[in-house]
Parts: sequence; C-alpha cells; structure tokens
Amino acid sequence: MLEQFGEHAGFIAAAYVITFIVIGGLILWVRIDGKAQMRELEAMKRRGLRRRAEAKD
Amino acid sequence: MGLMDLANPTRFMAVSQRILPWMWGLAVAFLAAGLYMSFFLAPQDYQQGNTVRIMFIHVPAAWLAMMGYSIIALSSIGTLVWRHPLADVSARAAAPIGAAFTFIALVTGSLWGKPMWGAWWVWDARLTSVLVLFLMYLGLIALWRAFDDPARGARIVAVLALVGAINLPIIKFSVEWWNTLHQPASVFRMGGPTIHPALLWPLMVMAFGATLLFLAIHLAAMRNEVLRRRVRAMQITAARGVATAGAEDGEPELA
Repeated sequence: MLEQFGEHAGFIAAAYVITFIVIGGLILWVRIDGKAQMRELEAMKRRGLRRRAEAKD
Repeated sequence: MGLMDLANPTRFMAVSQRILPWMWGLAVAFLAAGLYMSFFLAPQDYQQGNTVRIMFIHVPAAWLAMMGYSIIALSSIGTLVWRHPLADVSARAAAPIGAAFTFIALVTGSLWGKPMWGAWWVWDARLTSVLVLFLMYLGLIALWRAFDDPARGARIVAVLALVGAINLPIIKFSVEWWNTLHQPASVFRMGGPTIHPALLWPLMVMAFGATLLFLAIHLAAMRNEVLRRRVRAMQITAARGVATAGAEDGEPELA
C-alpha cells in the first residue's frame, strides 16, 4: 500500500507513525496517571482519611 | 447549569465523568472518518503530490498547539482574577498536551519540508516562533514542577504564561509580517479558504476529530490533577493530625 504514495511515501508514513506514537503515549500516560491517583485515594480512604468536604457530609 | 456551577470541583468531576466517554467516542469516529478521507478520497495536490497527506495531521496539530496555549492563557486569567483552583488545574493539565501537539506540528512540518523545500528546518519566522512556543510549554511544565505546593506556584506560573501569550499573534501573523518560506494562511483568511474542497474537507474532519481528542485528553488530565490535589490535601491533613497528636504527647509539633 505504501508504494502507491510515490517517492515520498517514507516521509508520509514517518509523519503518521510519529503522530500515533506521541498521541498514544499521551493517552496512555493520562490513563496510568488517573489509575495511580485513584489507587492512592482509595488507599487513604481505607486508612480512614476523609477530605474536609466529605467529612462534613 | 451555568459555567460557574461547573467551576465547583465536585460538580466538575461528576459532569466530566459523564461526558468523557462520549468525547472519546466522537473523537475516534471523526478521526477514523478523517483518516479514511485523507488516504482514500483526497486526491494528490498538483504541486505537493502525495505529501499533501502530511498536511492533514500537520495543520490540525499546529492549530491545537496554539489552542493549548490559549487555554493556558485564559485559565491563567481565571487564576489571577478569581483565584479559582480549577483554573490552575486546567492550565496545568493543558501544558503537556499542548507541548505534545506542538512537537507533532514541528516534526510533521519537518517531514513535509525535506521533500518540498529540500531542508528539514529553516529559521523562518513561523517555524522559529512555533519552536519558541514548544520551549515555553516546557518552561511552564518545569516551573510548575518546581513548586511543592501547587497553590503557591499557580499565580507565578499564570503571570509568566500570560506574558508568553504574546507569542500567539506573532505565530499567527508571522507569515504576513515577515518574508517567510512557510506559506501564508490558506484556510482561516479574509476571502475564504484557498484550498480545493476535495482537500479542505478531509482537513476539516481531521481537525474536528483532533480537537475533540485534545479536549478529551485535557478533561481526563484535569480529573487526574483534581484527584492529585485531593490526595495531597488528605496527606497534609493526616500529617497535621499526627503532628498535633505528637505535640499533645509532649513531642515537638511539626511545621
């Protein structure tokens, strides 16, 4: 399929591959960070800690 | 529900949790359609040939690089004027995403420039001002990380971010103010776009999908930042409790 994009196919493929890697990495980092924060929050709640806003409820 | 209601972090967390799956879904759908149009429907450009397909990611990335910094600048006003913690959360979450899109714009521009201009890089006003934007993103990220307490760093970073916003009109008008190798605006310009609809439509669909993706990542990163600050607040409360208990037992109280 790549050859149908002519002599500059390598440049086109490189542009899309790099974009996919950067965006994929960004999404992965956000998801891993989100899970880590949730884990930390749950661990603190298990230790009986509450935020002030929650403690008022 | 007004915008001010959303500014409540608890309300923001509830609303963002509901709309995020829809934003991810819509972003994927538009990007899939855009990629199909870019590779299977869009013709070759009469001058650029197939390298025009790089434009379908380069141009949206460049637009979003500027949008990311605009979000930071607007959020910085929110931090300085209303001192709202969500404004700083928004700015801080937007910085790495904006940096990533600026990096993509620079790299894809370079990959287009080599076959079209014969050079990976030229120091023309547009390219240089976008490189400065990338460095500013990195500077802001480094400055935020330099403060242990996000609330203390927020106002200092907000002032710097607003000063840096002067680069946005420089990027936009650089192709008009100076003689540049980079072509002038061809989509958002007086008199309408100069691009043929066969190439304009894939570009616009890709741009819309990429914008939705940017906003979805931004919203998810904002949620992470809110959670991070909650964890930090609980850690501080817990440490104070231990310190106070220690002081009551005759131990020195921690600062």
